[in-house]
Amino acid sequence: MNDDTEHKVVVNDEEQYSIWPADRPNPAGWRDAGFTGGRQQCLDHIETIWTDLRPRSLREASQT
Amino acid sequence: MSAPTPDAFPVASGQERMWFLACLEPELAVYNVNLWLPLPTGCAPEQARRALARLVARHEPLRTSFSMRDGAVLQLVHGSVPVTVEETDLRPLPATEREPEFARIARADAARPFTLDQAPLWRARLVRLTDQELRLVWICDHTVFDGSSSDIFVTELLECCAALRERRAPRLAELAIQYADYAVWQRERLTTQRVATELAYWRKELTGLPRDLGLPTDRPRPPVRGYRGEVHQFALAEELTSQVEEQARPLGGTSFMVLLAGFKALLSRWAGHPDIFVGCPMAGRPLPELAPLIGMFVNAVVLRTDLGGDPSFREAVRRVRATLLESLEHQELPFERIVEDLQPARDLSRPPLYQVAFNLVPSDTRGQIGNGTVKVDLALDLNLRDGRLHGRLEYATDLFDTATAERLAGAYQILLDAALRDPDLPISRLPMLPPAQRTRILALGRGPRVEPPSPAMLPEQLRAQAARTPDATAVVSESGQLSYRQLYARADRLAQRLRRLGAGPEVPVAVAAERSAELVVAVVAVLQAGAVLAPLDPDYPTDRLAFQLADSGAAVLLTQSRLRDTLPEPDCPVLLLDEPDPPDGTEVKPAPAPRPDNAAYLLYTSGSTGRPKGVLTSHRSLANRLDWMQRRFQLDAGDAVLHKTSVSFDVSLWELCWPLVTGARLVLARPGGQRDPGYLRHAIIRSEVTTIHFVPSMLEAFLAADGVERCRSLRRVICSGEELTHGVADGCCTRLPGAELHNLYGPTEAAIDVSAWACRPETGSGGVPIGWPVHNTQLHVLDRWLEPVPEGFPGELHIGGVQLARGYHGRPARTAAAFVPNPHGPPGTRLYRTGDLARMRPDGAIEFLGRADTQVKVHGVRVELGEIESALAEHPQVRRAVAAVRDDAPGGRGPVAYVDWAGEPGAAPAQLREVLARRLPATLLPQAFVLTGELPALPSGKVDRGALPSPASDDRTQVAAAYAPPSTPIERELCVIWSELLGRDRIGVADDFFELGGHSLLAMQLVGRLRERFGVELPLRRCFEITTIADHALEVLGLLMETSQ
Repeated sequence: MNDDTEHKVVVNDEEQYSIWPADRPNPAGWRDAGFTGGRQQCLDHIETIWTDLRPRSLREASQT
Repeated sequence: MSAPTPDAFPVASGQERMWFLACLEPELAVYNVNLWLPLPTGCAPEQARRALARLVARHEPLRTSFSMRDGAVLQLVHGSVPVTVEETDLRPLPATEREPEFARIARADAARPFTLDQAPLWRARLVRLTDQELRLVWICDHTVFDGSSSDIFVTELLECCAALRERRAPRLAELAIQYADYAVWQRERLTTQRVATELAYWRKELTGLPRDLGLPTDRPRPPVRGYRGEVHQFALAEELTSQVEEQARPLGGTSFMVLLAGFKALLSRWAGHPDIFVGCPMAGRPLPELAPLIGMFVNAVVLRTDLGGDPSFREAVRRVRATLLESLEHQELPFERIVEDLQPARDLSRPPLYQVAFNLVPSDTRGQIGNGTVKVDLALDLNLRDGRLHGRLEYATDLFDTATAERLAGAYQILLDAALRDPDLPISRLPMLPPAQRTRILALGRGPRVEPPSPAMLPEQLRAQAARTPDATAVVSESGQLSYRQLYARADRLAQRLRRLGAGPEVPVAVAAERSAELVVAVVAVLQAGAVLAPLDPDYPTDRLAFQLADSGAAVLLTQSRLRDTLPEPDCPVLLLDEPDPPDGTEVKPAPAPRPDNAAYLLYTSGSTGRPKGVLTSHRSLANRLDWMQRRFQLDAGDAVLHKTSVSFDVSLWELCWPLVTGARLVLARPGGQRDPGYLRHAIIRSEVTTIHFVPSMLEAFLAADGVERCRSLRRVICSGEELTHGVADGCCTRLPGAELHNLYGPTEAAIDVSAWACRPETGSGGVPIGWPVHNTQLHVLDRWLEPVPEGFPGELHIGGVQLARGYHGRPARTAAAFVPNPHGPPGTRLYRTGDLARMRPDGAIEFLGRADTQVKVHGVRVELGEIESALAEHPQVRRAVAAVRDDAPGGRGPVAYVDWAGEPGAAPAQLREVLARRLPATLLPQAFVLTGELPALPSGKVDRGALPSPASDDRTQVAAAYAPPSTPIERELCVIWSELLGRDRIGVADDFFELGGHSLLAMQLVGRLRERFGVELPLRRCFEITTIADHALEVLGLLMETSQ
């Protein structure tokens, strides 16, 4: 995936984040997280919003 | 009666080229033009013979032979030649056997080379298949015939037959000139001035032309071309054919340009780079008078297109058009002039300038007879007939499998079809796979789906095994043994202490201990406490350890008192493993069983750039990996696993944990012992080790030592961590016949290993495949749009499935960049991008091709360092060797060999060069040999390539010699001959013929001079293998001795 193509931040049900080319449909199980930009911008955004890297199901199970 | 003296004329440039190539390969019929045609019904053999005689009388090239006089090649046109036509009657054979027999006869005729000093340079055969059906097989040497000549020949022959039948004069165009006139005209036209102007164009156009297009081959290129080849025929669908014709104009090109742009786009995807050059034959008949002549006119031009920047197909057509139009302007310069100017020192392993040819031919290709040879690596001829484009793909069978040619033809059609449907798509997005094949390839990459044997994760499995066999030996070390019961008594107490200090799920505990029973106790204790194991190699530099300790956020550091002072001061409590346990403290709750998604361990990868990254791997991932290994290898109580890998590598996790969950013995190599082949051999024999891991370079060193055969207890050798070469694998199978050898592959980011290949004793060169995916794992070779590439195409290896790490500890952006949405797996899953280049074989096995970011290429040729290394290892005096591509190599960027040499140092370069020259293409020959003694190694045992010394700074480097005067009578004579041929004085015995201005014609003359002076026949090809006077003198001496015997 090129650095210069526009990307978007995507997230799955386990609240794991990643990036995907903005002009292509998301693979099944991934939804837009509401941010688009250059590849590095998207990664920088993820650095600020993804604060707990544990999968969501583990996080929730650990709280009970 | 003696024959009249033939007329002698100079040769045309194309003839000279063909003549030279024929001299280079006198035994091969590579340059025969072979065709057959059906004769009209009712045509009698005698009629056909007379018609042929008519053409022979009409066209001088059919009466021509060649001769070399005074350093120049001449064509001799004979007044008459015998018109001999063989006749074969197949009617006695059963009808079904006639076609195969015809094909066999035609192929046999086509496979016989001509002797160029004997006219005529053609042979003909009439074959009777039925009373009605008579065929002519026509084989002609390329020095006097070309593709357009075939059309002329067929048309005129049929006309002559018809004229004879109808008892009239044949209606044939008057020939205003003959071929020899053309040869003279061409010589006058190619003035020095004109050649210089044209050369200037081609030099510029071909600046920095890679020596090889770099297509991935199915087999390594042999050091000398074999010219063996076969043909794959296919046809484009009618709809695609008409699309090509209809779309050409809107795309601003011609059918030819569109077809070539599609082919180049495909080659670019296959080769993995944008500098795409192919050869294209040009008719070479610039005057109308030349049109009706039979003879050798065709010239080749190199069409080089830069497909950089991922252009759309529309743009690709535009670039191809620009290349073609410009090249057409300069098509008259004979191809061999460009070769002599740019690549005079012929590389015998590959065709010069271009390896792939493309042509849209006007004539029907059906009558062509394959004779099992090819002129280049790959040649695509397209021919439009009956509304469809028919493809004829010739491929060198030394390099490519039939299946590869078939896949390439299929990919071409898919790509072209998609490009014409949407010419604005970037060429990187054009599909190359039919949907069914795409589905099949993705399916091949999915390992078996296997349910875990129990929901228990590693801590529970460890405990369960201890409960099953409490009194069995668990750990064997230099200082004694521990039963399972003893091990767990200690580990449980330590786990309690860890719990009291806050260790538990998701909490890392650092372990920095030398390899010892204490280390095993610590590992088991951390897991029993439900915590995350964060192992540190105490041999690592303090700064690195300090970084890892701080970055991991470890709650506790477990170490040994003797290491305490060498370790950085942590921010957490320290427990010493070798101090007596304190009296039991307050009872704490035992650790809850970890959830499958809880982290099991945290390991740091060095990475080529930047800070080390901590990889967090879940219990589910580790359990799958250990379950796979147990299903595959069935370890039991009779087995012993040697633990010798640094705990900073994930291999150590299976070495430590696998025996302890299967009731086998865990044998510990003493600290440092992992680097000592003698110690390892001793430890294996003493403790009856059955299972051992090696990185391949350490396996090579281990196998090189005497006495390895005595390691009879070994049942399985596991390799991973570096590319395993066939040479090392074969050595292992030979020296340890009782042990299986398995090649495993995997990054830390996917739980140790994700693929495996069981090695069989077999010879080969290059790397051993990394095999098929382990269960519940996917391995996909994808392009940068995450689309699968066809089998054999290089792509980046991506991993999916249960073994993927959770991510990089505390690094969200790095995690998101490396673990991407998986378009080929269950919803919401991720793929890990390995950064490794790989390709899939047709059977689904994966071959590792190197790191994506550090592909080693020199002059466009992929340098297989493993091949150089295994060739070096064949020399008995080589203890160990590595090859590297260095920018600081003498003579510029190129391969350099580092050798631990047991022999006389002065003898090394010559002996090594000789061994390598027999095995490797010239481009892979090291430019320098550095004798290093022991090679630098990393803690893992891998060769530390970063620590190899510069060949430039090293006085042990063998570099090109300065002027060396002749010292023997033969050398002195050779110096005189070379001086005359090359027009130079003071030629040294180490000087290179081609660097001094030699070229192929001078090489021919050299052969003639040697014949005159010494009475020996040096094969022309040899002049390109040995290029110095010193080597020539030895060769001449050898030939003289042979003759005198």
